[in-house]
Amino acid sequence: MSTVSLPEAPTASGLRVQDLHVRYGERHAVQGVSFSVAPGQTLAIVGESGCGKSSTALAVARLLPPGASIEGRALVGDLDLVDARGRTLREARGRVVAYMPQDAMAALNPVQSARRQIAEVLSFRQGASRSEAAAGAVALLAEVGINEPESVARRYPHELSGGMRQRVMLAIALAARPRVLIADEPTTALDVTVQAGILSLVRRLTRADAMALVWITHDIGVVAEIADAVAVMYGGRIVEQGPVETIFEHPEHPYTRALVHAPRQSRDALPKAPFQAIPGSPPLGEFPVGCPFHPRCARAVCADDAADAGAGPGALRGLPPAERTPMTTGDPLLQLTDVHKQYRSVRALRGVSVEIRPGETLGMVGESGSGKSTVGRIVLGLERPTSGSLRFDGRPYPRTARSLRAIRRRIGIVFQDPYDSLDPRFTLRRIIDEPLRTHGLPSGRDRIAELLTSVGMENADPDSYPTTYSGGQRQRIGIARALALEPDLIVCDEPTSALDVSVQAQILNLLLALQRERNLAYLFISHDLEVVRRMSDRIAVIREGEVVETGPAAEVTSAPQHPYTRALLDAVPATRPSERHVDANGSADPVVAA
Amino acid sequence: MARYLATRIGLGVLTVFGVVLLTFVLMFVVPGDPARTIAGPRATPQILALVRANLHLNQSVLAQLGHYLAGIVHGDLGVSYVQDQPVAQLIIDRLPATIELGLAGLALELILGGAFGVWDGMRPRRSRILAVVNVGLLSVPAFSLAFVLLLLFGYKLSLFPIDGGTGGTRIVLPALTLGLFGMPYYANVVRDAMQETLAAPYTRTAVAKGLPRRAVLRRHVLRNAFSPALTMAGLDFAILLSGVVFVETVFGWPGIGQLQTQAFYNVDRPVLMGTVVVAAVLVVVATLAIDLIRMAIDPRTRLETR
Amino acid sequence: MAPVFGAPDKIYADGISPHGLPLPFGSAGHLFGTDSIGRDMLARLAYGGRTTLEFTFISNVTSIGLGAVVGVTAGFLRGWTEMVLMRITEIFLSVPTVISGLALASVVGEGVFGVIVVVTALYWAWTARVVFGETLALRRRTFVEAAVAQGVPSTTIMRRHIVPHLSSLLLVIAALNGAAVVAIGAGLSYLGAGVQPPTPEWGAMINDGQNALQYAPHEVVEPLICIVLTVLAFVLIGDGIARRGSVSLRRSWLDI
Repeated sequence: MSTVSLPEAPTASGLRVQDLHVRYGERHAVQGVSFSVAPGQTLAIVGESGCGKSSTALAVARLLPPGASIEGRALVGDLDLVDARGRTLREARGRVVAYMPQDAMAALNPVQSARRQIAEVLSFRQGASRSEAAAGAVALLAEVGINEPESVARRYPHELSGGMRQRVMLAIALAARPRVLIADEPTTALDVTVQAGILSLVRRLTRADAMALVWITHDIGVVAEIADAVAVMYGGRIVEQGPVETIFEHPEHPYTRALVHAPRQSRDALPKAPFQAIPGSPPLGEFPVGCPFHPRCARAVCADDAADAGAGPGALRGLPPAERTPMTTGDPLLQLTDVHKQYRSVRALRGVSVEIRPGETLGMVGESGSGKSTVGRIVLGLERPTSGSLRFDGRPYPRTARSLRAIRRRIGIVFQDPYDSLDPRFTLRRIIDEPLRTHGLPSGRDRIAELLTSVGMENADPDSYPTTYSGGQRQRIGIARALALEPDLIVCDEPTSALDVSVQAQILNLLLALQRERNLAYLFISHDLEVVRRMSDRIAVIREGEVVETGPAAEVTSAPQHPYTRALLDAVPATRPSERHVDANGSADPVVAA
Repeated sequence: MARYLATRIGLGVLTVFGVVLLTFVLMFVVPGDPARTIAGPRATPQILALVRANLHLNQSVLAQLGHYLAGIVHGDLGVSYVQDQPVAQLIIDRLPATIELGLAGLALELILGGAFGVWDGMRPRRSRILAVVNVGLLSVPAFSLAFVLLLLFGYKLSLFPIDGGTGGTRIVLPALTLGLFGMPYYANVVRDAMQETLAAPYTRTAVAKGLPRRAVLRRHVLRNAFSPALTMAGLDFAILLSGVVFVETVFGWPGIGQLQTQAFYNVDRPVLMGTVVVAAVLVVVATLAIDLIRMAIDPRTRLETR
Repeated sequence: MAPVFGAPDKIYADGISPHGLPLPFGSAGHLFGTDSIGRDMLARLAYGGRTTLEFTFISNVTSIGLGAVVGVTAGFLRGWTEMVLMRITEIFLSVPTVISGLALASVVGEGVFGVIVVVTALYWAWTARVVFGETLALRRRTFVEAAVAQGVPSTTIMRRHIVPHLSSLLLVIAALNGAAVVAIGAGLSYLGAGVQPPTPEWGAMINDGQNALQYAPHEVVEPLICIVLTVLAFVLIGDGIARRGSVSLRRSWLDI
């Protein structure tokens, strides 16, 4: 096997962006953004949907779709990326600036092996022969932490796990040894444990090679983990930027404060206490003039000076922590005993036993593929268990679809996807009407209005269509639908995962309030341990189809018994830089197979 | 893989069996007097008696079905009393000609359609001319197209011989007709696939590597764009054979299509039904072959090996 | 129609020229010429058009109706229903239309009714397969799962959630199917399998005229053009509907 000499790392230069503007036709998505990143340093750009962070990233990488216009400068050494054209631009791609996208599955050519896609860069940039490039590809795969790189290299994208695909994308990005790496939310769709591995890996590699790293994210925890400097974006502009310690310890802008304080306050809060929420949702089309955050800000005028830095989070409308309702006693409402579920060759559930009592929340937390969603589907009757018993209110689940209706009346569901869970051709009235009519319950105008009011949508026109509403609002409509039959139990399958951070708290508060009012029981399914802790009375940790630990929420998360629970807790991102797990040079990253 | 092949072949047999069952119903059960149906309208009473004896028409329907099936398994598709020959023989004589024309037509369809589709897919705006040509060809039914070409190149310009029979340049006009007939379908599929591929994130990745246009096209775009065309080729093989019938009739190409139209004219039912069965087998085999080729080209369509 | 176009079967005394040849296009009294036995082409074309539209409309409705019902049912209920229905669909799809059309026609008999039966039998399977595929995709949408989880009966879900989302697809199918039906109807008539004389039909007229191709091409060309224009109309309608539904992005990463 010949040794491949990867290209020499050229002199370090860092990235300087000056007054960057991006327009998509009329829409002014990025309005005068400026920042710089030194070689070996990591800048995190953090913000919610529509803030312009992705457009900024794509603009610097010169990968905006045709029709978008850029103004400003993005300098790497002497080269202005914004200005570059034709040959100069092509030469710069991969060598000067590289891009790592969020969706690795879509970004990899489905009909080519991993090795071929990585080797292509080597043979093209260096003129390496086929065998040299192939060997180099395998070496790169090892460098990005893949176990058995030879075997993985041969595989096709659809044969790899999410984490492996992202590492392959990283290998492609790094192959030509760029000076600047733009990582556009590459770990957003990955499990927490996998994310932790990739965070430390990228940190280590960019540090070692004196690469400037720009990491785009919406997750403030990720920022705490890996950033040296932070830029907070909202409404197309950077509302605050600075070194990571300053941003976390002394944030000035109300939005920054809200973002930064939220995780800490969350950790301090007890289970079932209300969340701190920022009212409203992030702007998507037109951005407000002036400070873009002002419509949601509790302070009407945004002070430029850091006068009241010491005060609490002024932007937040806090609710006083409510009295914790005592846990109800009595017979369990829902009981799963030794439930197995097998699909053709996959054993999704291996003997799951859980129970939920009336009025309590059982949080089920696990990573992707753990089977948590399968449990929810079985509880709803959407799937039938291969073996094991299910009892609702003491009685076993019936077999036929028709007799299941009686049980379905008492179990509601809130889905993860607020966009697809409402039929776009149905008016709000019809959506909420449907369960009522199916079960022969009164469905008049009053009832609909009542339900909409109970979820905070009293001003919504029942004859309007879901497409006119935001994600958070749609989720409220979905909750209204779930409440329509006055169920005893609601299955919440990742109800806030698809929503912006600032909106999540609103929805979770709504769920908590509804539970108190109506003594609802919840099966709360999520991959986010912190959210589960806040929402649940008891927690069940599930892994590869087995429940590895159950117990009261506070206990499971403060004194976990099972090593997997401990691993989950460890992988949760830090709330402040001083707590980070990833050190400046990247902690010893265990070589992972997945 | 072995299991996949076994399943496919099993399903194919099932499908052909279904077709056979249908033809049986059409020949033996539906018409008033099966003997007359099979022997033809001009049969004499002696022939009718012969037919009744040969085909056991006195026995129960199920027994007749049994005999029919047994015959088919042995390659016996009955006898054409009109032409006084075994049906199987008639078909086998003409099958090679049809297969030859079919393959030539398919190749031309894919090449012409593919080229058209790639070119159209690359253009920023839908080209008027290409759209018109495309829609125009879509609107001309197979036999009309055949006539047009016959008129133009056969009669008026006398470029190619049109006197029936195979060989030499006689295949040009019929194959060209088929090619033009199917071209717009494939052009549309390829064009849509091209647009989708050109807008796909993995194309962006290729561009982000700094590859020049031609390399991006050649290595990343084209292969992904052709896969759907192959899927379509498999599904539409039956339509291709349909076109073949008209083309054979108009140009006098001696294949099973021409056999079928003659059989219709002569009310030669055994031939009509026998051809249906053979055509079904052809389609099933061709579909399987095309699916295998597609699996070779597109790894996503391959089977789970783990 | 008779007052406007004249009768299609009437043999006009002045329909044949002194040499025994049919009158060409543009002749006095017979604008579109006459055929070999002296019948007025325009009249025949007009009546042929009516016949064509009749059987096209009916065949379209029946084949798409049957196909859609089979497709949605198989796609939504899955399991045994799917296996049985789609096997049957496969069977009907595996024989080329003309080949089986001729076989079927020889049993069913001639005339417009026969054509309708044959065409329905040939074409329902294509719609069934397309609708089946689309139903499979629709079925996985979250709002359908929501309906199932609420206990809405299957037939209601199919009716209220699935079919409405199929409407634009069905319109496109209707147009393209219509085009195919016109073509196959003419084709079968050309081969002698469809509409019988003396009822005029464009495909049959081409058959009649092909012997005279050398010296009276208008006998073939005129009905040919009629067929092409009709099919064209359907294709354009279908294309137009399809294009209106999808926003054509036309974005290429090669252009950045």
